[in-house]
Amino acid sequence: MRQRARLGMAMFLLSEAVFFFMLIAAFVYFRTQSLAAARVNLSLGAAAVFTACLLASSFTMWRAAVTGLRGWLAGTIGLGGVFLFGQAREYQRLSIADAGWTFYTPYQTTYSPTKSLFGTTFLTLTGLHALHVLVGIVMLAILLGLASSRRSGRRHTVVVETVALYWYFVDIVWVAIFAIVYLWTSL
Amino acid sequence: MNIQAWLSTIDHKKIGVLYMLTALFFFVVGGLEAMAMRAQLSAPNLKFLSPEVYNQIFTMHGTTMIFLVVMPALVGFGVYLVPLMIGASDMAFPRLNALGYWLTVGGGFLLYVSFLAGGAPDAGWFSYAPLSEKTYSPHAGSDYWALGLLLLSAGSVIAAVNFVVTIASLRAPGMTIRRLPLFVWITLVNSVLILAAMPALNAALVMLLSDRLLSAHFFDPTHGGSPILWQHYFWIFGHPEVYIMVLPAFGMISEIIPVFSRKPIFGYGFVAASTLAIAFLSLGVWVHHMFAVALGRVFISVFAAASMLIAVPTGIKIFNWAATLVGGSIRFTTAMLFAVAFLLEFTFGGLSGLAFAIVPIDWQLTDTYFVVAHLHYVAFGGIAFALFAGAHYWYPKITGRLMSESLGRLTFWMVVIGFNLTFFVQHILGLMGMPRRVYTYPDLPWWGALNVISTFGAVILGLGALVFCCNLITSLVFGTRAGNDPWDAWTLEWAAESPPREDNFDHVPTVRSRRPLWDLKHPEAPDWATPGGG
Amino acid sequence: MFHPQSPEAHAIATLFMYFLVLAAIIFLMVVAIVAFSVVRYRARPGDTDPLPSFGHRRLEITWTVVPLVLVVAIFVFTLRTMAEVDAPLEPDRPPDLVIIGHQWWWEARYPNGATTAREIHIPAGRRLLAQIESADVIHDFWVPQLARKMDAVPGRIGYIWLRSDVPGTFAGACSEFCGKQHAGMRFDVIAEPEAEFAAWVARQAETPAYDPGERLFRERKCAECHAITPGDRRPYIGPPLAHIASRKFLGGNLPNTSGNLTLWITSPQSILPGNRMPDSRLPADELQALTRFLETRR
Ligand code: HEA
Ligand code: HEA
Ligand code: HEC
Ligand code: CUA
Ligand SMILES: [Cu+2]
Repeated sequence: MRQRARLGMAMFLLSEAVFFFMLIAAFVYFRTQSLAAARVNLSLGAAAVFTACLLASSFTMWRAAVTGLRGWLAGTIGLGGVFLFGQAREYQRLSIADAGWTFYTPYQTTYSPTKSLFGTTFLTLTGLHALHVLVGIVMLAILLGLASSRRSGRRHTVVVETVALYWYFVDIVWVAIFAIVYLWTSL
Repeated sequence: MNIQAWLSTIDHKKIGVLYMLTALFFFVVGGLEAMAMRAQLSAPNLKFLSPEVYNQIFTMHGTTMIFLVVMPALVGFGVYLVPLMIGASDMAFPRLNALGYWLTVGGGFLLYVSFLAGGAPDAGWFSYAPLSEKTYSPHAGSDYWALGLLLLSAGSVIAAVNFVVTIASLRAPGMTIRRLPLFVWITLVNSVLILAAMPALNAALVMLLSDRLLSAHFFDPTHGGSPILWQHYFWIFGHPEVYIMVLPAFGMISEIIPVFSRKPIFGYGFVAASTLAIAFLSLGVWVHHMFAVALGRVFISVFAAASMLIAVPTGIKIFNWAATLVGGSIRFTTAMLFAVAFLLEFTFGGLSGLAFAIVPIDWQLTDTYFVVAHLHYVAFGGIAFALFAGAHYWYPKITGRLMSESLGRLTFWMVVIGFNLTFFVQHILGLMGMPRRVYTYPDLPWWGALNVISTFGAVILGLGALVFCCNLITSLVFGTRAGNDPWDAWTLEWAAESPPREDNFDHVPTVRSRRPLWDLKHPEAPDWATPGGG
Repeated sequence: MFHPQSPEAHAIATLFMYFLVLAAIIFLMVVAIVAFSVVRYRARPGDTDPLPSFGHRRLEITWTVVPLVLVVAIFVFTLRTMAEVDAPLEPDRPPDLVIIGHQWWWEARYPNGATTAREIHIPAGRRLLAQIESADVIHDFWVPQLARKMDAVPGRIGYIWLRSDVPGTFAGACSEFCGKQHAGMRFDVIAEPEAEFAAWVARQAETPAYDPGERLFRERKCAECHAITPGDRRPYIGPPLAHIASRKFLGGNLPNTSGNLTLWITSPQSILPGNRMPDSRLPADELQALTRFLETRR
């Protein structure tokens, strides 16, 4: 049972890995054209702080899987939430800071191509990642709810462990995104 | 029959049957679309279909045949057979299995409601940008196309995960990885290929949807985007996809030819290993669909070489199947007829594929009817022939009754004759310069004549398919009872009842070789005691 | 493809013939094995199962290595022919003509300012470097008898060698699906002796004498989609008409007669359904005037 769940999750994550690889590749494909806009718009410092939160959440996730304690689960959800909050703030700041961003304003006619290309790749990539974080948080919240209603047993542990795999994966993807989108840009 | 029990089922056999019936339904739909196209093309300058309608129909025909016929049919056979063949009582994740099926239904539904919602997609089954972008395809058809494909692809990924886990963890005692029936082995490899290739499509679709719905600019050259990026992403998925479709067909042939030749498969190890080689190579050939783009010559050559190399492992398979025939005692049931025809038609289609891998030839023939001919020789002459063979072979297991052999033979001859008439002449049309995807063509010498032959063949082919459908239905009632093992076969599914009971097996025979039932029936000369047989 | 008229097309046709022979041999070999087995090893009543045979290593190696060698040979021929027929990716000289795909017609621009559509003239016997581009979606420029095809991808430039050894008219077609009138995007390449070509291209670069019909042409908004001076290379939706009367055919392969010209102006949609020129309901006298005006554009 445990083997099966893990293998299944691993296989699913394999396909997810390819998916994110393709999106990151698209970012890299357009990188030179969008570099200028990326330099202006990204803030490495803030991103680093939220990245740290996400990384910390992998630790709490691991503790939750090992100990089965609800506190660690709640902590993971909290840290994931902070990360999402950070993302949201970043998006908001960008759309205010730069009127050239056309991603959310379909009928705007004045744009600067490179800036909107940056918006295209950056938002799609980080947006889909954020969606994955959100899904993870929802799953964790359900687990937390189940754990509270005393329906915990061996089965429960297996599920937590499996979700943990997902969570680590989402974090690793972020590390790659952080390295490529943020660090590489600020070089 | 209890409809509700079927709709809420998580039994792999029922889900398998649902998949297959869905595929059959869409085969009729896609086939009728093909008939409409052939009618329009039967003479030059006809006005039976307007260009708008024709473009929707060929797009839907291609999309339907690939995503709603071949994929569900193959997944359906897999879902039905894999647990039986490895002696399990169900898939590893039965609920997930049902989810995969319903996603497929949802995807099909989304694709087809587009007809009601302002027009079906009309940019072809690979929807090249920027034609598929909002500027050039403003109506919602392409959105439905992308959303429908996302669901279908999610369904395939789920099925693939399930196959891998099932095959990894639910095999009967003694069934080592080297004793897997080839169909199962190939399904395993294929599932990994699905996991590796499908996400490229998902990424491309998400990007296209961003462009269309959120005004992103991935593929929009007027804002710095790149149409070539779409081509890369689509074909990084698209080429492996054609092998994803053909590999399970190979698996079926590898089961059927031995049984009716009364000999074990020749060169098991090589057939299995060549599958790995094909899967691996297939991930590195996609640019052969883009040879006509001005890309670097060295870059192109690399992909040409890889495409040609695929001929080698494919040839290994062909030769091993042929060698299985040699020295056998061949029984020509309908299933076997289709399997043998498969060998020839597929080889033919493979060779015409190789023509495109020769870059200068592709520079002449890409996007002509020569491509249409190639793809139907491999897709119909290959995959569909294998599916016909598989249907006749496993029908008794699924329903408990044999299909009518006389109707089967009629199907066979009509399909073979109709198929070759339809598509052989298309090679010539392509060589004479007829582009594909044209709703009509000028009255040039021979074009009308060859096209009408093609249409005529398609009618025979369609009627053959109709006979097949009738056979499926009438045999349900009138077919002779099959018993557990009508073909005197060797893999575990034939040890179960026909149709198998809810949990499949009473008791699973011990597996000590690749042919457990042979060992059971021939205690005097079991495979495991024969050199090379264990 | 069967009657190549340039060294490039010829090389490809030859390569194809070689491949056809090889493929036929391979296919017939497989047919032979299968046919032999089908006849020789057909089950006869009373047959028992033959002795199992599980494989044969030497045979396996044979049918791995032989195809491998063949494939390598094919690859070498492929590389040779590629080098022979393909123009450089980044040529070191300006192109002799620029060909632009539009939804759904082809435009050809010559260095001397001449611009034409649908009928592309070339000097017979001279190898031209043609630059292929697109104004909107992806098209593909293909003249089977003369040259390889080349995708016209927006934002990207491709080059081909275009030549014909003999004078003549060669049919071409758009070979990448590009929307409603993909099928109607046919064209002709007309190869003429050098002197005739020179005269043609010189005349195409000149503006025909002013004709009062031009006013109507502008008033009826024709000029919004069509250029009527050769040098005018703004991005128009429709083909240039500066020398329309010198063309043999109109859209949809209509012979260029005054009747057809009138027909085209009133109802292009029934000739090539879905094309981007709207039908118009002009009074008969205006229609006549427009037709007459266009007939002076030679
Ligand atoms: C169903 C699956 C399927 C399969 C199995 C194949 C198999 C192959 N295909 Fe095909 N292909 C398609 C489905 C498939 N194809 C489809 C659907 C399209 C069109 C897409 C579209 O544009 O809509 C397409 C298009 C397509 C193109 C692009 C054409 C174009 O648009 O310009 C190319 C180019 O290289 C190609 C090549 C090949 C090759 C080299 C093989 C090889 O795998 C074939 C290998 C097999 C053999 C060669 C025969 C057996 C071998 C022997 C007997 C050994 C001895 C042989 C030799 C030594 C040569 N295919
Ligand atoms: C597995 C895939 C598959 C299958 C099985 C088929 C089956 C058929 N295809 Fe398909 N085809 C594709 C995949 C497939 N096709 C793809 C991928 C494309 C490219 C699309 C694109 O360019 O985007 C294509 C394109 C394509 C074209 C080119 C369109 C164009 O470029 O303009 C044509 C034209 O002849 C064609 C014809 C047919 C015919 C006649 C059949 C026949 O075999 C169908 C026979 C079946 C039936 C007819 C249904 C069953 C019949 C009945 C239930 C009885 C009723 C019958 C009658 C009234 C006669 N197909
Ligand atoms: C909205 C744009 C538009 C307007 C307005 C328009 N045309 Fe056109 N015209 C086109 C396009 C596009 C084509 C090419 C059609 C095709 O083949 O797809 C064309 C083709 C033609 C042709 C045939 C040329 C050829 O290459 O075969 C003639 C002649 C012509 N137009 C004349 C006129 C006249 C006269 C008027 C004014 C009454 C007019 N057009 C108004 C867009 C326009
Ligand atoms: Cu232009 Cu097809
Ligand atoms: Cu391919």
